[in-house]
Amino acid sequence: MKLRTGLIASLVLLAGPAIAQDDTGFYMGAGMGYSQLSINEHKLDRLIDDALPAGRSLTNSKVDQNATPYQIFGVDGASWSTSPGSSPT
Amino acid sequence: MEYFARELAYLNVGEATYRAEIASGTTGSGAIKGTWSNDGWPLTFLGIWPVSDQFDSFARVGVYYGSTDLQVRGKDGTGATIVTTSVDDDTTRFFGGVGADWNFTEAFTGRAEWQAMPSVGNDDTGSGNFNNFIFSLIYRF
Repeated sequence: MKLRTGLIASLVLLAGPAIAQDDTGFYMGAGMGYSQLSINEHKLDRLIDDALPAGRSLTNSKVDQNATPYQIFGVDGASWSTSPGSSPT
Repeated sequence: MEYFARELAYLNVGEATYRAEIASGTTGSGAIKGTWSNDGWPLTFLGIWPVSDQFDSFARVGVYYGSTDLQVRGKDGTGATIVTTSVDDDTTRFFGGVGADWNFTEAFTGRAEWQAMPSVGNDDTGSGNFNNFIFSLIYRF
């Protein structure tokens, strides 16, 4: 699966240098937010309409596009100061 | 490499809900419910600009490897299922964002950020632009 391959490649790319350096400013975080997805409703209608048996059609379609995204992340900020209130050095 | 960082995340873009009625001359009207969802892995590089002792601003660019899932189920007027669709496709997109960090303790930072991706999904799953305002808490080791 392409997604899995991409994930593994990304982890290797991120983890390699982080492990190799002694002075990494590694940090982790998590967050939550709000998004408006802007999905193309006409395209979605066509996709679903095409899947319906003959003699039936869609009416009154509606898409609720408000979403609550969330994320967890890790950062290798090797050159980014880890002291509060100080600039990167 | 001053002022730069790399970030790997797991991002759940969220879920959109689809509803429609089915028009039919023989079995009455039915209904369709569906969900469109996407999640994946943005790998991004951050350019960081210190604003003051406690605040930094940043911009990020990178690549998003994600998966879009479309699930649809429809029933006719008698309650019989007449359509089920399940499509799952991978997506690779440009990923960008801008934001600000507040280093309020030695170990913790608060982050506010706007993130965006163009045309998440594809012709098989349906697609849409992603604009996201997200607040995060960061712990520094």
